[in-house]
Amino acid sequence: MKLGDSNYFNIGGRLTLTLALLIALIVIGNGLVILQFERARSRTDRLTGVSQQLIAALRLQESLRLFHSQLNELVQSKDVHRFTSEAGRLSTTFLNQTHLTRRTLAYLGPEFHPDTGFLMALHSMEVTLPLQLRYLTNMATAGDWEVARLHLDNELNRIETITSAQVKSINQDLDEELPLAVAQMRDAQRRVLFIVPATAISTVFIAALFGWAVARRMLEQRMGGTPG
Amino acid sequence: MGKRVRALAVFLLGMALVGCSQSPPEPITLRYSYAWLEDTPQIRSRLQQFTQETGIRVKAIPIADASREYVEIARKVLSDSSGPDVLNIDLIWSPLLEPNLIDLRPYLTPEISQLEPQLLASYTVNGKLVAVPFNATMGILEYRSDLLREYGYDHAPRTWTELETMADRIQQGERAKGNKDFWGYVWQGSVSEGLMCNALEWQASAGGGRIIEPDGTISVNNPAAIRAWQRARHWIGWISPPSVLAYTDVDSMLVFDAGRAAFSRVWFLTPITRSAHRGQRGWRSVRPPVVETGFSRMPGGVAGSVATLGGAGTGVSMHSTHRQEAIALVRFQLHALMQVGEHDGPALVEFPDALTAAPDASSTGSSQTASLVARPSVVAGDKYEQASKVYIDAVHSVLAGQTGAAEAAAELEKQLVTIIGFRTARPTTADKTAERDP
Repeated sequence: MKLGDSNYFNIGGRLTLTLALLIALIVIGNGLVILQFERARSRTDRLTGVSQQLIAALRLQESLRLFHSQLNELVQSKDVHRFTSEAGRLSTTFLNQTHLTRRTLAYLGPEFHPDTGFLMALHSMEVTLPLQLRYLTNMATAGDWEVARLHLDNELNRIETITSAQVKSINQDLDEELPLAVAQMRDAQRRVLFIVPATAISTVFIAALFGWAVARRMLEQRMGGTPG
Repeated sequence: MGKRVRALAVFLLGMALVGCSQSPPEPITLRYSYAWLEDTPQIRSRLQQFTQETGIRVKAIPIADASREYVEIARKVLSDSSGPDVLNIDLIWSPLLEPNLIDLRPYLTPEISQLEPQLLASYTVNGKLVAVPFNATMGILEYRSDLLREYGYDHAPRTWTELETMADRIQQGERAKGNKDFWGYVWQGSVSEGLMCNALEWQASAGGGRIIEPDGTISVNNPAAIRAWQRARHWIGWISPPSVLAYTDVDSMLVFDAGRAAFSRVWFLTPITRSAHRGQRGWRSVRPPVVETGFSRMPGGVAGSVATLGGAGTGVSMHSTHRQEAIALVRFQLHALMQVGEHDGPALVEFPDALTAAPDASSTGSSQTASLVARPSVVAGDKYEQASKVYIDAVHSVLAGQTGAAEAAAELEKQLVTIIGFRTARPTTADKTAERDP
């Protein structure tokens, strides 16, 4: 029998089916294992995203506190010239931090959806802070430092409260996400521990069957072809 | 062999089921955005109750609430499904946010019939009800009742002239006692919607029209409106602090609550249902002051006392992926608001003549009426943002002494005609004003 002969690969219908089953089993088994890893990866990515988001929110909160405290110092100084020259710089520094936070969120990839409340708080700060600064500058220019102080405390406390609420909310997300991720990992581990041995055992079993059948067929052919 | 193949197929199927089975779905969570000032324990408690009754979770997202800034944020976040499912909007922004909000009329028909029609009109854009009232407010005058008694006044000022006289006298008296930072009257003069509301009240009460009339005519360039602006300009440095031009709603309230002013214009919560309106009660929207205060309608001119209508409504995002649940939340909240009659306010006071055109004999003997005026947001449609901006800028420049009132009114009229495209007209009351005012 030559390699070019059309019957060279003919092992019979049943053996062909067994071979196909063997290949299917290997492919499905490996596919299921990859699926478990993919799910686990997705969950850990989400967990990493929430953690990174929390870190970004905490950094922003700290910057906001610093901005409030430095602005408060300027108002306490009751020096219009100093206020007008330094308040703008403080605002720019803080707004740079908000842009940095946005970039951090963007780096987390398109699959990660940042917290809507946090994004809205960011929008809120970017839009309202320059305006608040304008009001404060006008009050400072008019010499009404007491109202400027009240305004600053009221508005910045309000923004700080919103930011704190968002940090709390993200922290809560993380608290919810962590046990889910752990559960998903355990689940994946349990499934992999089932799929891998099951695939291995059944593959070995079918391969053994297949080998035995092929050997038997070859033997039969040889016996049938040799005069007794 | 057939049995073996079948057993193998069952085995493979079982393996696939174990490997592909999904975790149970997470419960639906609605995102609800509203202004920071609305973030009260009452609203939080209502949301918790909604979750308990329906199993739908609600994530509250309070954001900064300076009116103009809120609309900018709302427009950004409503552009796709990543934004809030439900959100509160200021009634003046209904036309601007209309494309991103669903029509609530088909879903809330029984509830709508019980709501105050004037409020609904502010949320209706081209026949589409984009939001239902969450609260309703009106401009009123808050005064130091202890000081009024001390200085021999038995009633709140009914006219602007009376306000000036009383504010000046109390201010002088308090300063003589050593309270050097005391002022007669504080209000909202910053470049914001607050100034729009104040200026509309001055202008309309003087008979100068309502900026853009319901018939689509523009009325700003007339003697009554000009005189009203000049009067307000005169207050600055006399009975109102120079920094009033930077005051927002909260600033004037903080100054008043600190005991540094005799009169203050504030927003007052008022019921949203037809039946409760007849009860005519109101609530101060923020914590009560430490000083002893009373409330009265805004002082009036020849056209009577005018209060600007304010408030917020709740709408559902067009891009919400949980539309039915969002509508359920709006319905639940509306029922709660209608049932309690907004007894959420911390300082309940009886406030007669709040909304109705009730006759009131002033000390001068002339007849006055109190009327509620809406800003021209619906009639101006999506041009309102631009129209209100040029109006606010014009009034602010007059108050700051940068432009003369007549010059600013003429320029403003031109700008409004260009922006809106309506014709100009002289309000009918303006002629009477010119005849009667000295």
